[in-house]
Amino acid sequence: MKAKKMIGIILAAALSLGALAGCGPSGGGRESQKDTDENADGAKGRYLESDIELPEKTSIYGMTKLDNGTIRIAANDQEGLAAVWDLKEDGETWEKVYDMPKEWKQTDDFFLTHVALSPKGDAFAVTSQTLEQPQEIQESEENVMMAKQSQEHFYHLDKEGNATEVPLKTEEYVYRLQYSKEGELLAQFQNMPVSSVHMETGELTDKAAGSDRTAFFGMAGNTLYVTDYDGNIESLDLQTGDPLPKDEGLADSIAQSGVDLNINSLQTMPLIFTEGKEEQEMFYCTDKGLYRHVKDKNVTELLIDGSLTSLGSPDMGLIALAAADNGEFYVLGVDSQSDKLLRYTYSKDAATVPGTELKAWSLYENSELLQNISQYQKENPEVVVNLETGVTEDSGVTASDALKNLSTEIMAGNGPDLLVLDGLPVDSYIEKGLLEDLSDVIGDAENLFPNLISAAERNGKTYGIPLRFAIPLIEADAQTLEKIQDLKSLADAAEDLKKSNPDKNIVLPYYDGALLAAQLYDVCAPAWVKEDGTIEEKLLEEFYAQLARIFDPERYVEMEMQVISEGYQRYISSLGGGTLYVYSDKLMLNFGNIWSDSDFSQLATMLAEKPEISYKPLTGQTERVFLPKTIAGVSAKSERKEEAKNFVKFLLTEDAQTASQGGGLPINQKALKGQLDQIDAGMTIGSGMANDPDSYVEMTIQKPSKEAIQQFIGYIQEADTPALTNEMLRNAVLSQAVDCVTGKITPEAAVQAVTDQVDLSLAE
Amino acid sequence: MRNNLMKKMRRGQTGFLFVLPSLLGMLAFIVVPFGDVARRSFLEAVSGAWAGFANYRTVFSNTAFRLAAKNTLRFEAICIPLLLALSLLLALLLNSLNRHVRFFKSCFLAPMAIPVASVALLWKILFHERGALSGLLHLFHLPGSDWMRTPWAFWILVASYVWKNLGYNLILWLAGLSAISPHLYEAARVDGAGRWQCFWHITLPNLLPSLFTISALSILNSFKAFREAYLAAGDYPHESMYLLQHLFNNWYRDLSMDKMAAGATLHAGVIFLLVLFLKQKWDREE
Repeated sequence: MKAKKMIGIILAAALSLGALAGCGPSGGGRESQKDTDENADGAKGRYLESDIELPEKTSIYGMTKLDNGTIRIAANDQEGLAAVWDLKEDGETWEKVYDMPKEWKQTDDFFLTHVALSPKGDAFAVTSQTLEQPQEIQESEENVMMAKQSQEHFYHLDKEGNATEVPLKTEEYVYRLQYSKEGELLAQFQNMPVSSVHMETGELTDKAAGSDRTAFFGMAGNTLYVTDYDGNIESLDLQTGDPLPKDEGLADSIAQSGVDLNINSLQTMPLIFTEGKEEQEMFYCTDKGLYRHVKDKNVTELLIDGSLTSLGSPDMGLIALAAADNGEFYVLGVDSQSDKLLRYTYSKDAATVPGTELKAWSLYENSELLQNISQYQKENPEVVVNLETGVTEDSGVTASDALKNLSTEIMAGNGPDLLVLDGLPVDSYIEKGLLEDLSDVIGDAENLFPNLISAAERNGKTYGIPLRFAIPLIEADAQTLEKIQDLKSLADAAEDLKKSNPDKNIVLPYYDGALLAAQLYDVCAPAWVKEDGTIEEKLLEEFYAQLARIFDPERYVEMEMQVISEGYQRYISSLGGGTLYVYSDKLMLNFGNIWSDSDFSQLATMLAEKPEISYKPLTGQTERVFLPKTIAGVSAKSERKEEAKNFVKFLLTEDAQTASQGGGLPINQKALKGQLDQIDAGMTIGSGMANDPDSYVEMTIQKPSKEAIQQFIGYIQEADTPALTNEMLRNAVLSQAVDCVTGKITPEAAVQAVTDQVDLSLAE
Repeated sequence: MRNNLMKKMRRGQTGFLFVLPSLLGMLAFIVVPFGDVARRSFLEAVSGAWAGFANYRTVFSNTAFRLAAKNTLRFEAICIPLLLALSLLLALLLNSLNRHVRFFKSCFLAPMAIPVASVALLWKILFHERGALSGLLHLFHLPGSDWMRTPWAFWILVASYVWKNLGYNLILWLAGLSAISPHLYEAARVDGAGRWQCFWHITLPNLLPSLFTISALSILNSFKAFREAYLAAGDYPHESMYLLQHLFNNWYRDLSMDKMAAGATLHAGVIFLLVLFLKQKWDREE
């Protein structure tokens, strides 16, 4: 009876506990550190990457491997003169083969746009002359389809570089050119199938009939691979022109690698090919790595892991691939800085898998960090940094779920070594002792903005270092700007401008309450949160009241936009969108954050051309605010704390900080100055406003003056108040702003709704 | 005598062997993990250092915990009697019907087959500011509202729970009713008993064992109402429907395992005592 009772009690307990169990996040299937170490200790041999210095800091048109095995490039120098160069046997120095005609020198309206190099030694070039009167191409009598802006000329260059014009007649723009192994030139023109070009007559012969949806093409030996916009790869025999049976093994391996075949530009391709030594052997390269494939057989092997090299860097675009006779590979690519010629040499002593694995975790996708990881791995071949992203665009995982997954990993002892603290519960982590003090890392770092590194400082310890930042600014005419000292005077100025300029947009017309609040949130929110974490309701009420005054319902144009992703919030809070309209006298007030050198280039151009317009740091309910971004923290539970700290030190170097993908300005002063100094003149940007079809405006970027750069850096040096990183508060405030500015709810009701939501979180 | 004892022991062993697999499963997947949770409630979250009763003190002084516990208790106190009474009433009605019983049973069971995500979506369609309910009120010139952000949110949760579990309880009640011998009613009617007297003196006493089972299952099922609330209103719903599971969920997200372990131990303790109480009642009735 007792036993029965005991079983009954256990069952009752299990039943009650069962009600509480059942919804824990999964642990995931990642390989353990120990496993990695064991693998690393065992296997040796890996391709290591190195940069080949280009002749005279040139930019490259194309690359090929000649029949004699020499690597040849066609390149432009800084003067705009093109030449053909061969890589000498030492693999380091370049020998000029010939200069291209001097009349092809690049000018404002003349460009050498394409050069294709043949393995036989000759070449094909395309020049482009901008037309003063664009040619109208008439599709039908009523329908003028497009206007051709330039006239192209086509030239064949013999082995000595003597150019002969090819009488090639086409109204379509040339997209890509590539020579086959046998010296046949294949071309892809806009809206046309891949064609063979006859050098004497200029006649085009379709190679892949029906492939007018061709996204890009490539060749390996005698096989032509044509990829359409759906990612389907068709292969053809180059000699007969006949379609070949589908190489299922190749298609499967490319699909399984996860490469996105839809990402290509006029210059780069997501997939490039070259032939191997054996007849059936070929190599292909994507951002996932470099693969060897045996045609028509299910044999594909990964030779170079893209994630361990620059191939996997998000800013790397691929142009050409060559397999040298000595077993090395050459990849021509371009990153955000310059053209790159990368060499991959097999090292039998390097561990197959790098011995040290650092795990990094970021809630949101972070392109700069990915780029930095590629750089770091290249400099430290014994280290691999695996970045896990909590919320990706296509995963459908919410931030909350991602954080719960992270908690599981940490509690299971598989947590990351390095944490990007953006969007993470930093205070809770600090309270629980999860974050390591990084004061020594800051001590070793050079040239950082000392006023900006306080974002995750608590009790004299630095638990996180912002690697990037944004700075809120306001643009207006100098008189108006002088009057604006805080949020209230900003609202006063907006109302005055509305009265005196009834026909003009005061703020961007597509700003609804949430977008408007997003522009001002960062410079106001630090004032609302009291020391005990609760909200100063009067200040928040004041925020909503002033927001309603700034909002202009008469000019508001509803757009189907929602404040959702972190990236979108960054986009909408950018200053850049409005600068163009202030510049064109179509907008009176513009405020928001400078996220990148691109935002600054617009501001500097406007200041140079419109002396009546001025700018200054935006003051809301707080002054001297900056937005810390990509805040790096190191886990105190990590077994690789020192390695993780070394990585953070690297992330703070000038070299790493030059990475720029719009995720914030570098916190390294030298890197920032370098970025701003490197802004080039000439690029034209344009945009139109939703409520005004005639509103198209454009701006040609000017090189910023030293004074403009100095003034901007001066403002940055004054910033000392980090914006809040509490996303819950931000979302709650922004969501109430929509109804508040239209008068649907009162500021008091909006504050009540926000505090109801936020107080719960604070009480936890 | 000895043979009888041996037989009893052998029968006991056989029974134990039948129970053993599920017992082991429950030990491995529920009892032992929960033991670890209880252990962690006395430790610091990340360092694992001994914290004594500090986590419990933190939890008791935590206003979010108090609010969540109050809401959870209120939810149980309203939902369970309401569900039991409604399902019993419907079961009695169905039991008295001679036709279409199967059809009605299926109708009442249908909500159980609807996935939680669909229910959450339904909530949004119905109770959003621009949803069906607001639209209906608009027809009568009444103001709409984002109902999930008002005190009505709690009642939406109650209604949803009752709607979803009504069919299941109905089946359990019908099973209990079918076990009552019709001869008892016939004998009572011969003795002059009316409908009410039959219900009060025959039906209800005979349904008491079912009542305790159905009550225990209803209490345990009520904790699943969180899933709809979470999917429809996220981590921070209107404070009237902020339940203990919301709090535990958020504590887990913020790595507050110490507080969560203490809170979960307290919560499990209360449910354990409640189920034990019901079981004791059940044993006594048996």
